[in-house]
Amino acid sequence: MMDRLSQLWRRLLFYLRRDRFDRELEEEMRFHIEMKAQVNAEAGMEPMEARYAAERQFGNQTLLREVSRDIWGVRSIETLFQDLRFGMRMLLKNPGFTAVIVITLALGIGANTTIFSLINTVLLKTLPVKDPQRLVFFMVAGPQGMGTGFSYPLLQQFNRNNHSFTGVIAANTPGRMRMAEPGTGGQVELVQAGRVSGNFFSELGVSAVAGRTLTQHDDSPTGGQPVAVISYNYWKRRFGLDPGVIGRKITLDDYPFTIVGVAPPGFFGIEVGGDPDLWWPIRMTPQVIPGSQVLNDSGHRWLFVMARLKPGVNVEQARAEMDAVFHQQLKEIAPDRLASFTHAQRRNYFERNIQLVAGGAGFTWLREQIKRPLLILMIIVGLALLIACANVANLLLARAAGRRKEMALRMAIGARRWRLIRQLLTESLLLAALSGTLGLLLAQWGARLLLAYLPQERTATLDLAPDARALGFTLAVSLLTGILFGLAPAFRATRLDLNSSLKDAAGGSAWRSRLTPHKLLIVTQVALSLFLLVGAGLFVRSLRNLKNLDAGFDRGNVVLFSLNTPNGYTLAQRVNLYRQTLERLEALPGARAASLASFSLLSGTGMNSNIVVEGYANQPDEDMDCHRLWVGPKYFATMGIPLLQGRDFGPQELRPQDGLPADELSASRPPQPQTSATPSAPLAAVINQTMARYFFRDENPLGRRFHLQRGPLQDIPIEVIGVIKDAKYYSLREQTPRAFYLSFFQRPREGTAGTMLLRSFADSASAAAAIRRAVQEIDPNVQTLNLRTMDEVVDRSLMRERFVAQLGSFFSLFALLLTSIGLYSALSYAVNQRTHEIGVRMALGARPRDVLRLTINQGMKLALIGIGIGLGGALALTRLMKSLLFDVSATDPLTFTVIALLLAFVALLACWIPARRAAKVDPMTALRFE
Amino acid sequence: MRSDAKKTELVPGTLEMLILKTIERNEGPMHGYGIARYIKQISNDVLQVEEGSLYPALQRLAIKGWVKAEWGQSENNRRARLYKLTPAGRKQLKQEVADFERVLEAILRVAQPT
Repeated sequence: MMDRLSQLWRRLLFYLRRDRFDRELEEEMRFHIEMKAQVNAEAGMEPMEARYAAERQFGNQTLLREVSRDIWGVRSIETLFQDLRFGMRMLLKNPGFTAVIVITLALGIGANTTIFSLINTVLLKTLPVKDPQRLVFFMVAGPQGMGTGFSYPLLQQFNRNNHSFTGVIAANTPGRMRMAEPGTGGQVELVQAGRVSGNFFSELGVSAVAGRTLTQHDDSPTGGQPVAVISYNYWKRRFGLDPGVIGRKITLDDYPFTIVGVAPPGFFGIEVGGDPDLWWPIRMTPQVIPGSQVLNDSGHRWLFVMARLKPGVNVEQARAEMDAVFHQQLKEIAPDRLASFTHAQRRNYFERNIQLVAGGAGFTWLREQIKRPLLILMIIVGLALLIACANVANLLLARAAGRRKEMALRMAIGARRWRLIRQLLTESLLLAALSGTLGLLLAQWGARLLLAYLPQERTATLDLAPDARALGFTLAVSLLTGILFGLAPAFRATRLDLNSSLKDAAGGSAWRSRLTPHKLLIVTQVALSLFLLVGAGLFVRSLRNLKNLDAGFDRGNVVLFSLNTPNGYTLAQRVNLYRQTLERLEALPGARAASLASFSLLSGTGMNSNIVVEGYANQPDEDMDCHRLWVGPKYFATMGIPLLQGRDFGPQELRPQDGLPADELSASRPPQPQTSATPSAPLAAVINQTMARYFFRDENPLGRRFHLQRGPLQDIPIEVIGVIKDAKYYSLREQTPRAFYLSFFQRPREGTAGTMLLRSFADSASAAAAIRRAVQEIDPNVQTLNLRTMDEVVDRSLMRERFVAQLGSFFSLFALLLTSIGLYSALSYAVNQRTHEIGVRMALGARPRDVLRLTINQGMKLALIGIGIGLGGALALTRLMKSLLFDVSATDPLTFTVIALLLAFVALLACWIPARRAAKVDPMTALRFE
Repeated sequence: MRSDAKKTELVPGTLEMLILKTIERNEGPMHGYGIARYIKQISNDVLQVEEGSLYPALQRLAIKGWVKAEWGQSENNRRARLYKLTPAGRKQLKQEVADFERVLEAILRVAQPT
């Protein structure tokens, strides 16, 4: 084996230096001849004669040269280059033809490369850490699906009882913090800050490029250290790679920190696509966020957990160990909370298990979101490429027919068939290589286009630059396409009967009689196109259904934003800020209504709890879960949710019911349940139709009371003052849940208001500018964040659907275009071949109309067969994408019919043009053409 | 080709062995002319190596890695391509000589009058 390799190596070296070798062989021969001449001269010959004799004795020098080259195996390489040169000449001779093929294939290959590069980045690439294969990612699987969040107390339990891992690490989803450098005059800015466990960097095997990473000591249970590690990107952006940054004092949300190190370039934590600027120890949380209870609260699941398996420990062992810890902790639930569970909730709570999944690729929110859409798109672009191949094969087949004479001639003078096939395949591969290169360039651009569909903050550091795997994919796809579309034409072009070909007896009747590759290709193309179009049609209909769905609110002309306040902002200040902001917003030109809410509808966030309704006798296991939202005044007017009954919150509900207790001014400690303080002053609630109908049926819901079963609001009576029309809460796809809306100003608390809303006549850009100005004027220390329109919120909630529908239809239409071109060119070719026959027919009395019909029939027959097969395939396969459809059956008859008709119409058009040309054949010309 | 001496065809396959053996005996790099001359002399002009076979054979040996070609000085101080034996070549030679002797012995046993 090694011998073989080193031989190959020597041959290659020789090939690269073949010119030198020629020169050296020349010199060697000359030396030999001269030595001989010298011997001859010494034997008494004249110098000239001696030399001639020597040369004669030496023999044929040219032959020797060629034999030498043969020995080194250069001939096959030279043949290859000959083929390539010849192929290049053939391609350049027909620039239009070449361009059509290259562009078609480049689009196909480019699309495949683009989708694959996203799949590669999101699903396949591993984290830039040490030994990623040994990492596992913790998940909880239960009746309600998979969860990725873990509480801090549970993390501690994992660590304490761990025997399977070298360490268990945790990180949260990075959030915004205000970063300042006191005393330097540097600008205050918002950074993405992540909290991680002390062993985070060491377990991942990531070391600092400057300074040090975090240690267990920084995150020790006896108290964390206020230190932070910054990302390489942030080091570059903010500090210009200044090495003096180590030891620099900064503040995060006004809490002093010291920068101790810089993470290596390309390290983004464990969430692929995230872009944190810095990391600090989880243990510092209570100091930095006063009153935060997250370190003690086992109900707050906010951490991603990963771990590195010890050598020799298998995943199942480790899983069992961690699962035992998890179940132990589940049992430690507070008895009163357990007692409040319905049967279903109890099941959801206990029937959960720890799952360990491969963690080497990190975690990404995108993965769960777009895995299925991406795979579907991959299939779509793969089929589109197949259609492109069929097209190119068709074109080459047509050309192969044109080159029959050339091939026949070459075979007649002795070329072997294999040699010709090789020549033709070289041409095809040349085309594929050109297309692949162009496709790779297109993919760079396509990847950027693709990212525009995905939320920017999730994809900031997604690296779509092709790595070895992506390049390998493109190379493989290009080669495969080259062989795929080149093989049939090559075999066909060289399979000939020399005599008849040289005599140019055009085989016009071949088209009609047999199942030719042409026909097969066209039927395949039509079938595939139909399949793609039906798929795309279903996606488009789903998206339309979702978009036109009555969400229950008016999504147009609403701008949303959040306010970021400096640390130490008291609740009273905050309430004041909100009031002032609302006043200023309503005074803006074009403003119609302004309000606030805990969060935006359809953002995927929610708050829910079990309620007890007075006068409603519930079954023991009945699901009493209701969703809630704290809102400001005029919320329903701002969101355009119609009030059906009763009234909106009035002045009496916009005053704090219990005042603003002094001890709540700054702390966000969960308020103690105020059981008997104000038993007579209920909170007001506006409930939705679904809730009203469920609990009160035909009775008047106004004035009815309910309360929450547990939590801070427990035992505070809540009175219904109005009923609104149902509005979607989590997502457009859902059945609207029972929901009630409470007045924020009636019971202001930290964390229950965060999103400001403005409905305005002004366009969103100018509204945004006005909002920023207004907030600046109220308090220059407050920042306006996250400005977006309700339309954008809705669009984002439909990201997956848009992704598949728009890209899917783009590629399906591309496929349709290719198919119609294929049909057109194949039929044109057939007409050309049969010009003579048509001329004879017409000379014998056929009318143009007959010829027209004949030709169209010929093409449409194939198209209809294709449509039939495609329909069958689509019926069988569209079921697979059911989960991405909305309100449309996977076998929706309307979509199927419309698409079939559309395709038939396009096919008819593609047949019409060549058919007209056929009908215009002048019998005299056609016959003379012979 | 005119030649006064009686020329004998080489037994096929032996040329490469002869070349290797020649270089080995010479205990130093040799040029093509030297190899041909040496074989001729040692065999008392019985074995004549034609240039048209010699050089291709040398290249085959080079590809297989049994000899290595380098430019150097000939005995009369001219630039010449010199071939020397590689360790692999030495091993190969031993093998070929052994094989050849076995075959030769067999042939002789058959050919000799009993």
